[in-house]
Order: sequence, then structure tokens, then C-alpha cells
Amino acid sequence: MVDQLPNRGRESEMLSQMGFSSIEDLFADIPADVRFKGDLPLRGPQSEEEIIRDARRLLGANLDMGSRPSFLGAGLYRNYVPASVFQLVTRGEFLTAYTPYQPEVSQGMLQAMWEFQTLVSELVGLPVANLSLYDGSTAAAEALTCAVRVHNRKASQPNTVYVSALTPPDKLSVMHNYCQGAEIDIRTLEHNADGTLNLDALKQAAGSCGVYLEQPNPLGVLDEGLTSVKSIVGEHTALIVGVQPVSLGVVEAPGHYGADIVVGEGQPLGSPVTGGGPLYGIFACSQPYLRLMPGRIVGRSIDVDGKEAYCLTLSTREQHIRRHRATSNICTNETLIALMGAMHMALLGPDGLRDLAQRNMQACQKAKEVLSATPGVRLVHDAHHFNEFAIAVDGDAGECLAYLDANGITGGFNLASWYPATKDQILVTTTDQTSLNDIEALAAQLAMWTAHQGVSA
Amino acid sequence: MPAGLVRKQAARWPRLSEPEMVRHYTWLSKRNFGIDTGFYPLGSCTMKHNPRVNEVIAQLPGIADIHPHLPEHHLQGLLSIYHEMQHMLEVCAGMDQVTLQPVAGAQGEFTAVRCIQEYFRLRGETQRTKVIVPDSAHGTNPASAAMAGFEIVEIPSRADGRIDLDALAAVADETTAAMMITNPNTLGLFEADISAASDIVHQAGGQMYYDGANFNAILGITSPGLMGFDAVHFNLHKTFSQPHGGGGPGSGPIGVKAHLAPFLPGPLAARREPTPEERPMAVDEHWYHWHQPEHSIGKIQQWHGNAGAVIRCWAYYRRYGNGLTEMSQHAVLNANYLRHAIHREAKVAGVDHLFVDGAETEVAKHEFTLSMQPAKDALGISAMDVAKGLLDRGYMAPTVYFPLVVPECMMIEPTETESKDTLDTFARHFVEVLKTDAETLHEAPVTTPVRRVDEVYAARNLCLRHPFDEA
Repeated sequence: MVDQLPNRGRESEMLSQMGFSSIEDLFADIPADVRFKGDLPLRGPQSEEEIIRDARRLLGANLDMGSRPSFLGAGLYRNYVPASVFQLVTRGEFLTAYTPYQPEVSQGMLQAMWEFQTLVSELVGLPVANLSLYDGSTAAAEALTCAVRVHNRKASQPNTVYVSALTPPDKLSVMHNYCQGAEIDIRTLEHNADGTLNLDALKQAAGSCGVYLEQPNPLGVLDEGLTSVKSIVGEHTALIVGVQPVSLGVVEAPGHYGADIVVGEGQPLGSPVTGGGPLYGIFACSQPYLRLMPGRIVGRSIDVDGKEAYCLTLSTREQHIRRHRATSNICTNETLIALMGAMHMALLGPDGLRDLAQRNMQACQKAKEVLSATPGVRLVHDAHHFNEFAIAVDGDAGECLAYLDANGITGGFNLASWYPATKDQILVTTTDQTSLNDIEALAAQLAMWTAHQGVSA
Repeated sequence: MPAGLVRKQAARWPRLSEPEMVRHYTWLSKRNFGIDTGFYPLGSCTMKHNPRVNEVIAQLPGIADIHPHLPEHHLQGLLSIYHEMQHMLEVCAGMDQVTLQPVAGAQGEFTAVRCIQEYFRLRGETQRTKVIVPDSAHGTNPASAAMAGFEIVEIPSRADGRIDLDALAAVADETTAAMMITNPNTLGLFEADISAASDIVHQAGGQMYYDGANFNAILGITSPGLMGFDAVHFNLHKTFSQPHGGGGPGSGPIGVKAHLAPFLPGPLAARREPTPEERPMAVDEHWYHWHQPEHSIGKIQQWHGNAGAVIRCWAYYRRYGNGLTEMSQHAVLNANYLRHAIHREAKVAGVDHLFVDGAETEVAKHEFTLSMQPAKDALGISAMDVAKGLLDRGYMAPTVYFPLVVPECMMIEPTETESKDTLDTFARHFVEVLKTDAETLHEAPVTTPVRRVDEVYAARNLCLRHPFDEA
């Protein structure tokens, strides 16, 4: 049996060297009235092999997406992550290190995170990136509070930010939780029938502290209109763009069309979906935001011999120095998952990223072609898409998804969960892992569903 | 693609073949220090061994390749593990309901103070706008409460870092929403007056919040519930062996008493009797499902928390089961043993006048503090010098200059997974460092990949990415 306690059996020896006779002596300072009586009412210990057996049985009862055609994405995307990433990230020197407070013995992770900052900065087209926030939603929420800190003094609409009306409710809820303490008013921006942003309605956001939009948007629509947002809202309103990082292999970097802050769910680069966590949030910005941004940042420096060396920097923004005046409460972040991202990016290179983005787009294009020719299926938006697109089906979307599920297909995401007024819409997600066979299987089952609806109607 | 959206300039990324990439990151890893490399007595961080079985389990497709939006009948395994972990943490904390949603300790703090805020709003007690925090608290406590919109009232600690009940009584009133405190405190000492502190805050109508950073000292021995707390967060990446990963990911579940449970962020894992149709798909005699609390504050992360971290900690819990108490006993045994060993070795070597305990006490809990002020006064050797000297001897340095109430502080936490031999050897090396002349120690470290890094230079000559323009 693998033992985790090296001093089991040596307790008496250690205690007697200290002049104690019992482990109880070490707890004499805890008053009796706050002590547990008896053993913890929990199950008994297991051996390692028993734990693995139980884990295989329980986790085996979950549906892993690779086991059958799956079109579920809606913010998380299954791209192939190379085997070497998983091998390297379990190296104990990375896996079992703490935050690099002693830079002399933490150069490996510090340099890796400085390289990560470089990779992200280049990817999104902005000069500064931190070394990760928790996920895409908290990165977006922190971007809003950061925008208010930077722009509130000059804003004609102080303490006000605007976000896309398509923002998934769970993400919007995170934003509300992060913003309510600073009494920030979150207003929404409407979209046109084709899924693009309504640029006329956007004018009301001019003079606010920030605008949050996604590219591609939550329905997978690529919106060229975002390239004119900055000129509409003006220099004193932060343009915050949420991205799917893989898309930036083919889609213009938001930093090149005026974005002041770019955030996003880093997961599609380097990480499996993992039930929704751990993931990593991307946060990059332009210079004016640097000293008010959240999260840890690595800087390149020198050691006493003048040799190149790395260390955490700009710490005076952070909670351990600034306490209640810190720009964020974040301490533990997602460094190791960001490291997986950096490894994946390094293996892809610029050409590999473009290829990966194109494979994602081709799968999406193929799925749109096949499904639009499927009886009873209608594409909701006549637009350009990345990864995913909304379809309308005959009948109720939830019932349709249950039918597909019973027939061996994870059909997508029921948009009624985000937008309760839509009853018949499904968000269909494809990635580089989606095969033509998968798409055809989905189309065939959707056709069956439609036929079934016709019969029952 | 719309023409205006086509990317014109590709990211200037390197393009590495697999052999080059593997060698680069292996080289980097050799320039990094983890628990696997050597003893890591970083106080307040609980750097215990990370069992490898956790990693094996976390790679299984039933966790790595599952989507949080899958229907419940495809997530019975995950839901049952979530339920088991909620229950285990409820038992250990003496709380009525746990949520696994928060992904880090600081996020757990934020979540809990948000729940407390909504609790008071619903009761109409909107004048409760203040959170009391001892000056020795971790920085995240005031930062989290301020983020939720609370005013921070800092109260001084006594010289031993313990709570000053008079100072607390003087500020606790009808504007108090909560007090945030850790126990054992940041000096590793148990607050015997904790029940009295709880009484003061409760009588003023406020809530007691337990920062679980130091949970490793008390599992199965006492609990926040027994001490009178209303809410608590865990750092699963400290107490339950989720690897720290060089700064994350973590997991920061919170537990609350029944009156705060309706405000928790969902979903929570719940269970009931399965229907006849569900029974064949059930993993045991229950049917597991998600549950949204009635007055939930909403989401604090978009999905279901760090599921991958929860799974690792589940494996760790299963290894100990009801024997978690023994884990904490050994953590406290090792901390006290190391403290005694350092004092003993120092006396033998004649350097025991160079440091004092951070606070007078018979016993410490899972960690202890030393003040290097005497060494600084006598020889000009600072806590930082000692830390750097330890790096040269193959150790990670203890936490230095925290808590601030101890001058020239070194905060040492060995954890339960270090052998007596490691502790004895460390004590000897610690003393050897103190015997080193100041000149030599100011030069330390000399054996590390780089020597002392100039943090002022880094801040004045900001270089936060590769400077392509100069390349």
C-alpha cells in the first residue's frame, strides 16, 4: 500500500524529543468545547488501486464526448491537443511548484509565463498580457471593472458599461457579481436579425466606460461591424473584445481594429474541456490599462551579475501589497493550464494556428451546407460563422436534442437555456475533431426527427 | 470570410518541432523548483506531496473529455463525486451546505461575502456595509470584501498575532456585516478566544467568516462550525493536495450554515430516489441532479467550478477517508518537531541568540514563525539573506516578511509529508546558514540558475514580452 505519511510509526520518538508524551499534547491549546468528539463520520480509507477502480467506474458513467458524434460547444471547444503537452505539463518541477515568489529557483515557470505573455500579446494584437485569470467569464468581468477604473473620471456615462445582449446569462451573471460592488450599471446592446451588432443602437454607448462584444459572437457569427465600434464609441470608452483564440489564426486580431482590452476563454488552445474547469482566462490590454489591470505579470530583468532573469512585476497592483485597494483579489490563477496553452501555441506556430483555424472553419462550413439541405432544418443567421451556428428545427429544441441523444448523438446546445423566448433553436458546434461522418449522422437523425414531427402533427 | 475581418499579419510565434519544444520545456522545468525537487517549507501555502494517483484519474476521458452542459443522465459519475465532496467538506467544516463552484481561495472569499451581502439585503439590513479584518489577515480577505463593495475595518492584532477582543468589541456594531479571520492564525497559533470573538460579532448581528487557508492544522480535530462560524472557504489546492501548478489552478469551495445556503452560487449536486427509467443509468441507489438555490447570487465562474481539481481532491480524500484526522496530526507534529529541532541545533551551534520565536507559545499548529531581527541587529543578516542561503542548500525558502506583525519574519510550514530525516537535516542546514558570515550571505544564492534578481530594474525597465523591434 502506498503510504503518504513518512513519519507514521515514528510519532513517539519525535514527541519524546520535544518533551511531549502524546500527540494530544500538541492540541492542548484547542478548548474542549470546540473539539470534535470521536471519529469523523466519513467512510474508511481506500488503497490506491481501489480508488482507481472506483474512479473508472464512476467517471465511466459520464459521457465522454469523444465516444460518439458531439456538437456541444457553446463556449468550450474540443480541439486536438498534442500528446507532448500532457507529458510535459506533469513534470513535477512545473506541477508541484507554488507561485514564483523566489525567482532564483523559479526561472523556468517565470520564463514560460513571460513567453506565454508574448504569445498571447501577438495573438490578439495588444502589447500587454497577464499570465491568466480563472476563465473567459471572469476575464470579461474583470475587464469591465478595469475599464471603469481607467475611464470613470472622463466618462460622460460614469459607472456604466455596455455588453452584447447575446452574452450568455451565466457569463452575464459573473459580470454582475464582479461589477455590483463598484455599483457599475451593465446595459445591453441589441443585435440585428442577421446576428450582427446594431451599430445605430451602439451610439448610446459613446461616453460610457466600456463596451463588451465577442468575435465570433456567442452564436458563432463573425461580425465585420466590430471593426468600426471603436470609432463610434470614442477614445474614452474601452472596447473590450472576447475571442475564441483559435479563430485568430484567420480572423483579424482585435488589437488591430481598435480593441483596448481582449479577453477570452483560453481553453481551445492547450486544454481539454474538463467538465468546464480548470480552464484559463486570457487578458490582454493596451498601455493605458497596464497599471490598473488585474492578475500577475512577469517582467524580464537582470540578476546581480547582469544576467538575463525573470521575476513577477507590477505587484503594487495586487492584493498582497495593496490589500483592499488592489485592482483584483486574484491570487491563485491558472498558471499550469496557461502553460499548456503556451506549449500548444509553440508547437502550432503561426502556420499551424492558421491551419487549425481553417480546419475549424471548414468543419463549420460543411455542417452548414449539409444541415441547410436537411428537411425541416433552417439556418437562423445568414452570416459568416466560426465553430458554431444556430439552427431552427421543427418542434421543440429540447425534445429534438433528447431524440438525438437517444439515437447516439450529442446534438448541440438548446438556446432556450440562454434566450428563453426561442423554443426551436439549437447551437451546433463543430471543431477540427468533427468528421464528415459525424455531420452526416447528425443530418440523418435530424431528417428522421423532422419526419417524425410531420407524422405526429 | 468578410474581407475586413481577414487577418493580415500573422502572430509572430516561433514554430517548434516536437523535439525542439520538448527540449525547451524540459530545460525550463530544470530551472524550476517544485515539491518533487525538494523540501518546500513555504508558510501559509501547505506545500504537501501531490499523490500521483490524482493525476492518473484526472486524465481519464470521463473527466477530461466531458462538457458541463451535458444532460444529467450523462454526468451521473461527476454529480455523485460532487455530492460526495460536498458532504465530506460539510462534515469537516461543520457547515450545512457546500458549493464547489469557486475556483480559488480568493474567489471563495468573494463568493461568501457576496452571499452574506445578499442575506442582509433580503432581511432589509442594508446598513451592514462593513467587514472587519485583522491587520494580520491575508491580503485577499480585504481585497475580496472590497470587491463585493464592503468598507474594510482593520483591527490591530495583539503582539502574538492573536485577536484583540477589546479592539473587536469597539468596532462591532449594527453596520458590521462580517468578520473574516483564519484560525490557526497567520502565526500558526490557535485562537483560544475564538468563541468569544464569534459571540461579539453575532451579538452585533454580523456573520463570522472562516478563511480556510490554515485548514491543514485542524481536520477532524475542530471545525469552523464548532467555533461558531457561519461561512468558510477551503483551499483544496492546499489541504486536499491539488497541485499548485506554479500558481494555479486551485479550487476554493465554500461551506455555509443553513441560513446562508439559499444564496450560494449554483448549481449544487443533490440527490433523490431514481425513477424506474433512471435506475439502470444510476451509479448507486441515488439519482444525482443539479440544484439551484432559491436566492442564489448567480454565477462567479461560467461553468461548474474546477471539476478537474475536485476530482483530484476526491482521490486524495478517498485515500484518507475518516483518517483525515491523522493527516492533520502529522502536519502539526512535523511543524512542532521542526521548530524544536531548529532551536535545539541552534543552541548546540551557539547561534540561538540570532532569532526568536515570532510569538511565545508552548505549541504551534501546522506552521510557526521565527523573527530574524536579532540577526539583523547583531550581524546585518536579514530574513531575506537567510532565505537566499537556504536556496543554496537545495531548499525552497520559507515565506518571508509575512505576517507583518513579526519583524524580519520567516514563516515555516513543513506539512505532514516530510520525513523526520528531512526535518532534522533542514534544521542543521538552517543553523549552518546562520553561522555563515554576513558578507557571504549577502551574495547568496550562488548555486541557483540565476542569482538575486533585480526587481526594481524589472519595474523601471518594463519588458513584459519579447521585444521584437530590437530583435
